[in-house]
Amino acid sequence: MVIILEYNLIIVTLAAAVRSGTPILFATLGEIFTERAGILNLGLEGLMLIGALSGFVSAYYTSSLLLSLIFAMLAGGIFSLIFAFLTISLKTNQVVSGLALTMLGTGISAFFGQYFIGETAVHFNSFAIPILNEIPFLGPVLFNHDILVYISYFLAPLLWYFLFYTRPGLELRSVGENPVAADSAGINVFKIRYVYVIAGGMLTALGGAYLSLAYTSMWIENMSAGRGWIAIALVIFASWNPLKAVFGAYLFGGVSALRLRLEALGTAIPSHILMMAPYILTLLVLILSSSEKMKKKLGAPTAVGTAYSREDK
Amino acid sequence: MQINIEKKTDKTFYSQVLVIIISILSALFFIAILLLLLGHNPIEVYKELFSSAFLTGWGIVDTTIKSIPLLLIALGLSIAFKMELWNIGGEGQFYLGAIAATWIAVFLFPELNSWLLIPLILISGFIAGAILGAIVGVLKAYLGVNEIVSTLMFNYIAIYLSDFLVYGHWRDPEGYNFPMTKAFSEQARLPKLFNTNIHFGLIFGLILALLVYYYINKTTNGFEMKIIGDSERTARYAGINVKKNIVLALLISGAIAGFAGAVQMAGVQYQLQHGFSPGYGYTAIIVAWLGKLNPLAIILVSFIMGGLLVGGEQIQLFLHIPLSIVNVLQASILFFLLAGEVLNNYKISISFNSELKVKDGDNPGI
Amino acid sequence: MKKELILEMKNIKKNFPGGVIANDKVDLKIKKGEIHALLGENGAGKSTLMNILYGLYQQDEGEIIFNHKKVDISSPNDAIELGIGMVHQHFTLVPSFSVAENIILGLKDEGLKPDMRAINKKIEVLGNKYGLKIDPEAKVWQLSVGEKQRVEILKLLYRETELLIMDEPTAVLTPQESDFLFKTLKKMVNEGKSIIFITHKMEEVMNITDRVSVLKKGKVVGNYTTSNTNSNELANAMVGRTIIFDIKKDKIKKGTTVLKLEKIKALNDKKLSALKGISLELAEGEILGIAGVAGNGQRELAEVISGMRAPYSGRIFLKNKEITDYSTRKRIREGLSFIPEDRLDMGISPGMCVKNNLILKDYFNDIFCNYGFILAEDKICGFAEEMVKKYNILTPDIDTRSSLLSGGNIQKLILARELSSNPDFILAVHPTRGLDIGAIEFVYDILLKERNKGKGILLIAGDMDEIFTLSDRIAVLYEGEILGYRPADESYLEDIGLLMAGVRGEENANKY
Repeated sequence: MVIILEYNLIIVTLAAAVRSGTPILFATLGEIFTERAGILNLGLEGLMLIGALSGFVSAYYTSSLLLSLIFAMLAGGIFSLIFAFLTISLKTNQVVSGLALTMLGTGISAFFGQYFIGETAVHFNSFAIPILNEIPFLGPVLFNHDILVYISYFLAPLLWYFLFYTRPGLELRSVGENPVAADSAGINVFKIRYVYVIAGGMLTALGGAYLSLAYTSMWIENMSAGRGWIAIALVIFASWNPLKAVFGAYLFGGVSALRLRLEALGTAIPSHILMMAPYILTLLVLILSSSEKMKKKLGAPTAVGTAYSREDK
Repeated sequence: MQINIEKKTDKTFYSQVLVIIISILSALFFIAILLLLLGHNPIEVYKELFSSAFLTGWGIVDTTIKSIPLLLIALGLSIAFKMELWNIGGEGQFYLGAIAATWIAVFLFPELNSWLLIPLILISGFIAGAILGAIVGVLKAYLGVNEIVSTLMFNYIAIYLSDFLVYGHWRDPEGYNFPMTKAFSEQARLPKLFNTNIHFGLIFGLILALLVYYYINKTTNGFEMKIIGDSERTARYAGINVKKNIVLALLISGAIAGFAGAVQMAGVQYQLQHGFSPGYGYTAIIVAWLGKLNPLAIILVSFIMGGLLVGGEQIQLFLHIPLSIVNVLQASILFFLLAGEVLNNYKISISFNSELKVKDGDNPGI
Repeated sequence: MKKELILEMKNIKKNFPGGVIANDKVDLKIKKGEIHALLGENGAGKSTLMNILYGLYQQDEGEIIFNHKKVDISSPNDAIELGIGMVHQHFTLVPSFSVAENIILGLKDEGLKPDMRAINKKIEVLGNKYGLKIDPEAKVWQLSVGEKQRVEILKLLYRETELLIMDEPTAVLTPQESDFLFKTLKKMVNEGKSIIFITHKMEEVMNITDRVSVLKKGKVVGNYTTSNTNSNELANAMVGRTIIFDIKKDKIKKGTTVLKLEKIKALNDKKLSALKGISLELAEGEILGIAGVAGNGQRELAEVISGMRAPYSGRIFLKNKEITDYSTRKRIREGLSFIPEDRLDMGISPGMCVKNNLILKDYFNDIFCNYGFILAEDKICGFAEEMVKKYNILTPDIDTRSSLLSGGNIQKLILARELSSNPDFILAVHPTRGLDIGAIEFVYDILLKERNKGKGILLIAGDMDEIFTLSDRIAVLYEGEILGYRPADESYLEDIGLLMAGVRGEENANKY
């Protein structure tokens, strides 16, 4: 097996890594906020597909990319609302509810998506940012993408600052770590959970819309290919910190991008084995970040996964 | 007049069955609306769906055949779910069992006598699934790895492994380049029942249901698992080895799913091929949950779900409604069931007295 | 001098699902600038009433008048805005946040990005004013229990609370820390604050309060001015009889050593040192009481003895057999019995029925299973029926879900199970927590009977009354060490209090 380590090739691959990692980044950021509020949403795969289809359909009919994004996020928000109602107000089992959401999203998107297979619609185009893209090495890797990628560059640090340095971020963290304390301090635990489950779902749907409007600009059944699940693992890997999520998302983007490059180069490694790579990597990453010791240091929101009830004492 | 919403102290069997029925009806209603929006007549659709699955001779046969893998996998899942171990990897374990079965039947011992070959095939599926389950169990028990994501990752890995084999070295040279292996020899196939296509797997399923029921409710190990699922702290306090039981439960559930894969190969498929499973492993999750983790209920639910799959194929063929409608239906049932179960916790009573009279001796909880 | 009313709660009624009447036409009047005690047993309705006042619950009927205005308190936010604050029994702090972050949590007027430096300064000033020194930047999980309580109080003072509700605040404090708390409360009252003090301890009421309201089974049974009443009258009102546990301990000749701990060192969940070299010996026919404020290693000690936590150094002997490396199950087989503090979380499997809980630790024994793995239903049912009768466990039948039983009956279930195997050693941790008088007497009776039969009992409890009533000897646990042993005699109470606060005596700590 011979890999040509040509400079250009590396640049191209890294740039592809950024593009490939962006949808995962959106979903991971969304889920970080959901889990910080204390709710585990396993429906990310379904939400991404809903976002992907909604965005694509909207682009097909309206030819407005802005409207498409809005519509995708709206769709994601509605489905997240259903999930939130079930898990927060009705206090159903979060694991099973999340799985149901994934199945629903997968099914509904496949069902309505059947009419759009093979169609084309407007999509996002890459554009270079002048001056910045002249920076050696980093320039072409980071500054020759579409607007959603650029938005994600701002989003992660913004969300990080919000979470750790603002008052609403403090309230969010308190709800996830000790809902009783938050409730006692007069914080509306239910409202916060609703807000962040829906917000997280909207971000995830946005990640899905990226797939159909920028990454591949078409609709394919099940096009998220497990990215939603990888995002869930990444949240643990990122220790619920938006900045670390960036690192994780691009790492995974990198693996996918590398696989495509290798295939294009005609490597001897069979393609199916290569396709396993992201999932094996996720597994390894999960094993590394999951050992108990690390969990204690990483500051997981301790109340994740349990419903909250005031009068249940 | 005042309306009281009180928490019930115990749910009756009757009310639980009612909830399931209402969930299914609500989901059907919801899907009907969806169908209407797309210009189909829901009554016609449902008629075709149900009659083709349950009211024709070949329909019942086909439904039964489809229900067997659901039954088997769901039984395995129910053991893990009882301990709140979320084995989402039924699909991957199913594939792995099928791979092992194909290896034995096509590549290792194709000429062996039936009486030896078939047990070997089945055991290989069992072992393959057990190994996968054990790995996930050890990761969970000793390294704290979330089993939801780990089993899911293994799903993708197992499916790609299967593809790697059927597109590669295992591809049948006389198969016109289709991604599938050579067919199982006659000796490797399960016998049929009642002169139909229903294979012996049905018997396995029914026996397994009894075994699982007995295991959970009558053995000491099942007792331990129930306690761990109820309160892990109490289990440790009682001296139960929780870690060992986590590994055991995931091992068993993986083994049964792997066994299901081998049964599917030897009973229906007769060859490993790309995409041979329409998501049985995932549907089995719904079956297990709808059946409330009760082996006997799971038999019934898997039959119904099998019917939905058969009916779904029919309406896709004749009414041009995509098969994914079945997934939407299943997911909707699950949603309504989840909501319904919670609502079943409360009892709404309307009283016309102004005071709530309570006698001291009534409530043992005071 | 007639002081005006700051709070009036009129005709409060509150019912809970299942028919429980928590508050039954309760009237409460609090004067401005007074310390008012709410006295009553567990389950009398004190906490419920205060939770209503603080907005955590809503009353079914009745009105609340605060500062002469009728108010509607539907959430803690409303209460806080009015100037009502509560310090709960179980602290409502976020462990990973700093003191300052906890104090400003929930305050809207700190703006979008709070100025932490200004806030820290404000907290320091406030702390100095009331004598509550604390480092605003310290992380709460590092603080001691007493310090955490100070943070809770500072939270209220920061919000300019006028009426403070304190729910059993001394449950987690040493006698000396309690004194410090009372001084703080007096300072606050001098500044014009009013305080409602929930307690079930008589001496506290008599020491620092101005007036007392006594609740019993959801009703107010009396209002008193503290200076005009005494413990006996209050006790009478509280339970309908004066509480004197008329328990005489027979003089029992102590037998051989049944439990021995040798220099046990163990870490807690945060990998910090919890037990720093514990050595003790317990003889047959003796009750050794471990006194100490919660959080000094009691939990870890119980876990080490029962086998749920492994010490990193030291040895344990049960009847002269070394069990240091034995698993929990092996210890159970050797005759180690454990009545845990957490009834619902640990002592029983709440979703399982009564009969299954009764065989929780014995199901693998030959009497209850055939061939070693099949449960013998008939033998299990027979045993369960027998136990229910013998211990008078009130349950509809042996197949009832255990979580439906009352606290007292759950404890009886646990006792029945733990004692049925005739163990030689019993570990009892807070065995009467949350039980009513009748159940408490029952438990004491049983434990003393076992002692008289020649069993060894290690009692870990926070309640001094309980320790003195039951123990023969008392050891004081402080920050993971045993600071000293004293006989269980009232005259040593102050001494023990000092030890609990870490003031070491001249005696060698290892002297038995």
